Amino acid sequence: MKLLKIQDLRFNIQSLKSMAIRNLQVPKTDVNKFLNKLTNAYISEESTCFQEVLNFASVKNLLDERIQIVENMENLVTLMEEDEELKKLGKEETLVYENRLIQVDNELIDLIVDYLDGDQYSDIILEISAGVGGQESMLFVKDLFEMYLKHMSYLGYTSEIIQLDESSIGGIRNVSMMISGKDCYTKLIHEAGIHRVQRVPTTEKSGRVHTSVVSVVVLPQPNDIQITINPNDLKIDTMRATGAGGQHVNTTDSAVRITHLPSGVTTECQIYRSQIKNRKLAIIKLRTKLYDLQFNKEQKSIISMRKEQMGKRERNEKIRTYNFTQDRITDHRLSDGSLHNLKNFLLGGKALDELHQRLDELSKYKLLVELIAKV
Amino acid sequence: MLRHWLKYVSRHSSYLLTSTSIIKSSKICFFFQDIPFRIPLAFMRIYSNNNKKYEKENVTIINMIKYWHQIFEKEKIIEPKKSIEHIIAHVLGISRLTDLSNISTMKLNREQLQKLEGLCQCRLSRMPVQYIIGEWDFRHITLKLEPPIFIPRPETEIIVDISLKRIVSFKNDKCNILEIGCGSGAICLSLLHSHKNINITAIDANSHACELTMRNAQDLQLQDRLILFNAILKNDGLIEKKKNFFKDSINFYNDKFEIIVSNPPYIPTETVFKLQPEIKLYEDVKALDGGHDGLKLILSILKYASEALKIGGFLILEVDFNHPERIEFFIKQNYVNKLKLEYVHKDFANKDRFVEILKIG
Repeated sequence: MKLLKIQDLRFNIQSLKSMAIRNLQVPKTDVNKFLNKLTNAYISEESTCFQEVLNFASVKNLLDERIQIVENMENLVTLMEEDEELKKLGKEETLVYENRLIQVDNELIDLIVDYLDGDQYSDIILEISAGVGGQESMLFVKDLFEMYLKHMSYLGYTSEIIQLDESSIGGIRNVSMMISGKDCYTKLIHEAGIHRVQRVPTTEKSGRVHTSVVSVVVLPQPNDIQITINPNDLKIDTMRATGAGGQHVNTTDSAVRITHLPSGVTTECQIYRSQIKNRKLAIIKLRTKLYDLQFNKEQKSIISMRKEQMGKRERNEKIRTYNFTQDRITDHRLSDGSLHNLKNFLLGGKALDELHQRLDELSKYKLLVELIAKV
Repeated sequence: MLRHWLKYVSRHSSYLLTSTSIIKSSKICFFFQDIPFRIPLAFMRIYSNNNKKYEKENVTIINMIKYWHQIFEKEKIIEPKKSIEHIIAHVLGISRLTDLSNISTMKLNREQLQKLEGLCQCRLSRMPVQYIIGEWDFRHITLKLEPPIFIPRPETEIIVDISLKRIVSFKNDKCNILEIGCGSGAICLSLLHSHKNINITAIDANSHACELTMRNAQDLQLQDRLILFNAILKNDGLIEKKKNFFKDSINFYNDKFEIIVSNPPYIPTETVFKLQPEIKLYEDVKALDGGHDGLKLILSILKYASEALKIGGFLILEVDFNHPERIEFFIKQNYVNKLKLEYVHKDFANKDRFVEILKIG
């Protein structure tokens, strides 16, 4: 009872977490309900859906502090009831505790949301492939690809093309690149999904507007520990697999194809002139694909399920429309997601980065709301 | 005589051949079989047919790739698309093929076009792409390559992995390592590049190969840790120095090695002349021809290694896929107390390709 009393008091003083999220308000009572449940789970040491989060030392420390503060505040209230003189002093002290409590709560929420938002990766593989729309779609793959390349240099990330399949009229069927840079996963995950383009294709003579789609996939690159591959599970094919090989043959083909026998996943690499480099890259690609599979596997806790949903949703969602005739970009995830000046947007500079920031805020907000609703 | 023939076939490829190129007279009859004279003529025909279209504004990269791709395909050049892509990237000074797609509509200037034509003619004469562009990658290094020095094969990349593991297992950076037949320097330079503390002694019978290895070593700044000799391993298992490139001297009669590594010629003589024209016309036959069963050089190396290896040291060889069994048999017959075939490793294609032989006594 006392605990509740204190918290009621608190709301009047300052509003909570929601402030960090621009224009988006999370009901404070819900946030507190969530945090109380988390604290209780921590005290009771029962295994609950919070288990994953509670394994973090930083979360534990914050919860310890939170419990301590709440206890102190309870003691203060008792004291204040007993002695009128202490009331004045007590009020000041309560204020200090309250402020600290708000800080701790915000940090806790931040930590949990960041955790749910996915791990931090500084290496990813980004794949763009043409969908419905034939040649026109392939031409747009090329436009998007160039936009990302420019965006990478805008952000100071390094990118390396690891596969590129060109179409006959200068478009690209599919392209994948390896991107490295701080927080690059958090930023570029917002690009994953279906991109729709509406324009009069250069191939169209009668001037009709066509709609085509392009899909973008963002895969985080795991490290050796997250995915271990047994060399015996790999079947490695090269172009030299037939014939005598060795000194008997001279080709420039150094392509490598690797099949992971237990899962049947296959990757290929042929960009380097050295076969060993191609093999290394094919293994990186394989590891990324296996990790993606595992990432999407069903797991028990709510938190993991939440992650799984995220993974799936990003694949098939129509996330953005590029309308060339109206010079407009619409991001369907945002309520006011329309931007103008398409040409500038395709330069991959500030406009794209700002959009990513808005999307980041939105996704964190959604996560929090869903999390609270579940508990 | 040889030069005359070559000129007749292709003016352009002959100038890339060097004075040290070794093509036996017996090769020339095979020459006729695979490279008919009609090639340069046929090429001229195609060229003039397309001359009109060609002179127009269409000399963009993408068009030139299409144009030569068709010609190569018609003339049954292996890997027609990859060939022209590598050549055009070389002409433009680009190292990676994927970068070509970004500039596919860029036009070539007159000089570039001329160079491209010359090099494509070389390819029509079956010159290997690696010689045409003058370099190729081996593991993590790029090597200069020129005819007739043997072009390193991708399989050989694995022998470096095997050797590196072996070197690390000795836990001694001062260990003596010898490479027999360094060619362009692929194995020894890769080892030096991957392991920063070791020194290697390398020999090759061809002085041109030694020069090339030296140049590659200097480009990669590895020359300080490489001792290079122009020396011949004779049939009796002795190494005879012809010329050394450095002052520090090694006595091949007394010095012992922890590791001897080699990719010796192992193709049976008969087979050599059935190989693709890229190999038999342009590569040094001495770097391929392993005698009637392909084991001639391997046996000499075994003989040398049986004396020159320290006890516990290893001889690491790349061999033909049917050789390991025969090597094991031969060792049991002749060096039962001295050597032992310890490991056989497979290549990417799952063929027995590498042997590790331990010196036991």
